[in-house]
Amino acid sequence: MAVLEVDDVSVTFGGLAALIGVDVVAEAGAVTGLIGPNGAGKTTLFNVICGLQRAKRGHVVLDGRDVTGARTFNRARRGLARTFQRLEVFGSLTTRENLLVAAEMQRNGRDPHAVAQEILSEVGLTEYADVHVDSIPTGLARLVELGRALATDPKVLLLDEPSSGLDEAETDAFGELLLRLAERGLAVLLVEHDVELVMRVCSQIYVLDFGEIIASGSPDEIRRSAAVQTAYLGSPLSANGSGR
Amino acid sequence: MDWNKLLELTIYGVALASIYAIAASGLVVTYTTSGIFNFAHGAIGMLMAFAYWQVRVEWGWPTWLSLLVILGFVAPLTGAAIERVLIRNLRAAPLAVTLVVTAALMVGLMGLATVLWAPNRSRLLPGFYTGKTVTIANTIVTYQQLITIGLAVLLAIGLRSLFLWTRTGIAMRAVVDSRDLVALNGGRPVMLSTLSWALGAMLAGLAGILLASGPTGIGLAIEALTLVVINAYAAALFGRLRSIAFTFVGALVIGLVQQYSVGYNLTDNAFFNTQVVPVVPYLMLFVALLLLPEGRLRGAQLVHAIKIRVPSLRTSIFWGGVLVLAGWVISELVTGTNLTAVSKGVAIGIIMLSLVPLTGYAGQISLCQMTFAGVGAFAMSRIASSGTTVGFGSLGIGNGNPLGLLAAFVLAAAVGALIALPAIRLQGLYLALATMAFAVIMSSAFFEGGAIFGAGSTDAGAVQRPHFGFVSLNSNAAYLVFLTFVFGLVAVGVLALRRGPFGRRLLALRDSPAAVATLGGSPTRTKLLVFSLSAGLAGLGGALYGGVDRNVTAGQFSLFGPPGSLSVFVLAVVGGVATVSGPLLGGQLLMMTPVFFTWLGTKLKTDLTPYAQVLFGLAGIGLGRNPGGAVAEISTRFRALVMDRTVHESESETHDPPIEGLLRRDVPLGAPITPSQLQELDALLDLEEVSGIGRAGSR
Repeated sequence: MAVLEVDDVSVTFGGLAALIGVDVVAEAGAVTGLIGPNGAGKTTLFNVICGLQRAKRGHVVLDGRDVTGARTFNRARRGLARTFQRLEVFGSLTTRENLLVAAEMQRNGRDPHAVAQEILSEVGLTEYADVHVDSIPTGLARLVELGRALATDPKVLLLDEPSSGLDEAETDAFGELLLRLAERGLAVLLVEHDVELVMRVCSQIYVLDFGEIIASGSPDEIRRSAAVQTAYLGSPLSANGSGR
Repeated sequence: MDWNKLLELTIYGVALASIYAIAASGLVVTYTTSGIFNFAHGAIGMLMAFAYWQVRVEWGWPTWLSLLVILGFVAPLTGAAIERVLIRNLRAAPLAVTLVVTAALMVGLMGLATVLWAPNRSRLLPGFYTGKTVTIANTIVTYQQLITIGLAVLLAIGLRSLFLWTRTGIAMRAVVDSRDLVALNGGRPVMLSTLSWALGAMLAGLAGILLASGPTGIGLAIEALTLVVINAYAAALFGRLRSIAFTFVGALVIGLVQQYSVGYNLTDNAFFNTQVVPVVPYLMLFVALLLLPEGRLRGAQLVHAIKIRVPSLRTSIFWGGVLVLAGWVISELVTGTNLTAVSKGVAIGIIMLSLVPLTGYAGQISLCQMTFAGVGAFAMSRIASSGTTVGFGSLGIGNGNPLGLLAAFVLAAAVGALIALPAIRLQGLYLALATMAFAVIMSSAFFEGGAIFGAGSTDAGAVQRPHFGFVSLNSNAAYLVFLTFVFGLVAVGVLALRRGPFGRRLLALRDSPAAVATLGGSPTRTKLLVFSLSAGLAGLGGALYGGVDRNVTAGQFSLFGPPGSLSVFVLAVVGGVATVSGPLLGGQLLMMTPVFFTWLGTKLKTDLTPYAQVLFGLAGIGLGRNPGGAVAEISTRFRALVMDRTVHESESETHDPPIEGLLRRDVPLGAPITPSQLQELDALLDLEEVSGIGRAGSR
């Protein structure tokens, strides 16, 4: 079931088109990938989805409801959570407090402290629970953001390059965590530069280039797509193999 | 319709607008090239007008030489010096720090003016070509008005040519978009910034001289002149602090509206004409701010503030007890005016405590805390009275009824919410400007004029001390103990707030409003709540402050005071608004420093009181950079002294900058850096994002 639908979204900055008629769908219980070169518009799309950036055209539908005009916090209350490419942790609070801030904003009757404790162990941050977040390594701070997003008990989770700063073993564990979250029924939309990770955990992948979706499909379809190869390498491998 | 009158008022208005335009464009030039809003712009203008008086009148230099020296050398050098010494280091500083430093500079410069030109004699600045006039359509226009208008036109043309056709001007515009790109292309952003501050100070000086020598009736008065130059801030906001053209339009609108409202008595209401009309530019500043579009939510800033430990409930209650005990000891030892000053210091400390949740936790700036204190004192004077007070009637429920304190809190909180409702969606700088405008408007249109704090020139009003039946607070000693008790109570409450959900949310809001919103929290609602709470606490403090002398005056609750909102804010930051002990120190500094200087002055047989304000300014400039304030600084150093090595070691472990996270990983040398790592490095080193460069280049 599609929990998040992005329908024909366009954004311009001055005269520059950052997104052009983008359509993306994220299903519950699956990890959906969004890949593309730097400057393709991935983060802009996330900002449009969560309401930090106004779209010039198009709609965002969350859990069957059009939220295009809704404010950021109202979208969050409808079950949308995200992490940021450029860290947006609450640096002067501890890891536990970061999670508590998120849990305390929910009105679901659950004890915020219990929620925070549960998530601390789930994302593997128990050791750093009472450390101020601006003094922990970046990779772990990304996990704090993930934990904080989870503490809002979301239906849709937008992850903006969550694995950067993680080493190989940590990235593997992170992939497992994403699959577990999807199994629970969460719709995960993943922006990631680590294409291996994306191919492994995503069931559906969108490729964004210069603000346009140039391909979408299963990991296998994306691997074989000539358009994707051109975007990434300058020309399809089948032609002469020379890169850009 | 009296066409002659209309023409006359229009010419007056355009001349006034020209001065505003000159001052405002100076502000815009400095803001765009350095990214720092200069609160002290008005004070620089005032200072230069005084300096001009010194050489022109006191030393009798010819006009041309005086102008050349002041506007050609003194003002630009002052501006450049301020940029070199203070501003350059602030480029990467958070907004709150830049506001504190420039606000402290304003306090310091006003103090300096008082030191150099003691306001114990009247000074007159002659106009230019006095008595020379031309007649345009039956309307007499002075040479000075023509010169003023001409200068503004020349300035408009000059600035436009500078920005469009000169290398320097184009580079100045480019600095706004990307400082780093300008540097990469061989420009010198640092030099440009110095240049812009020199130009800004010169324009402020020109405006100051024109105002002080013109027929505006302001003359050389430190506060009035500073305030009038600040009128120009509204004009700059019309251009959103960026566009020179819209700034000129804004200046024109403000100048004309002000002159028309003076010239055409809109009402016969004398109060309106004398108290409201002068603050028309501030009303327009307020309106201009409200018309600004809502900015995008700010993301996180990389700031490494000192980690301040939050004491437990038990510890905070213990220290609260110690404070009351200390209050009792002091009340036994100190008498007379010193006792009054200490008591006022504690009361001001309570008002400063109101800034802890607002500025210390949530990172919002308010320059109108004394306004809320005044509202609190007003509530106390009306509610806790026997019903004989003047003006606005009285709801007296008996002299000193403690419910008056509750009323003070509630009324001030309500006023706080009322101002916050429209203004709170503004971010950082604009909120600070809105509160400053509110302080000036309330001061002129509410506190002054006799209706609030009694009739007559003193505007004084009686404020009762609370009365608790069995405990008498009639003696000054007992009242000091009571004040320390309330301070302790409020401090324990503020700390409890910090430990709880609301305190966490305030810090989260300061660190990243955007993240708070994506978690389902409404930044606006949170800010509204904390603003209202802060106003309420300031109101409570104001009611208690009034009780010290059992009497208040309108001037105490103005922007400049004394004590005044500006000094209260600066000294609260000096003490430290992230701790509750900071306000205690700040309150005592504000009240006891003048006492000390007076004492020292009598010993040295010279008047040293104006130096107190200079000292406040210097302290604010020095400590404004450390958001922890003096108390945190002292305690950190003290702890380091006591524990020495252990502290250093543990600090180096917990204060690792996040870049360590990248470096610590076991990446083989020569392994390619991934694009995301590169972006991360950019973010950590605070470089422009890749997309930003792409955009700038594509223009």
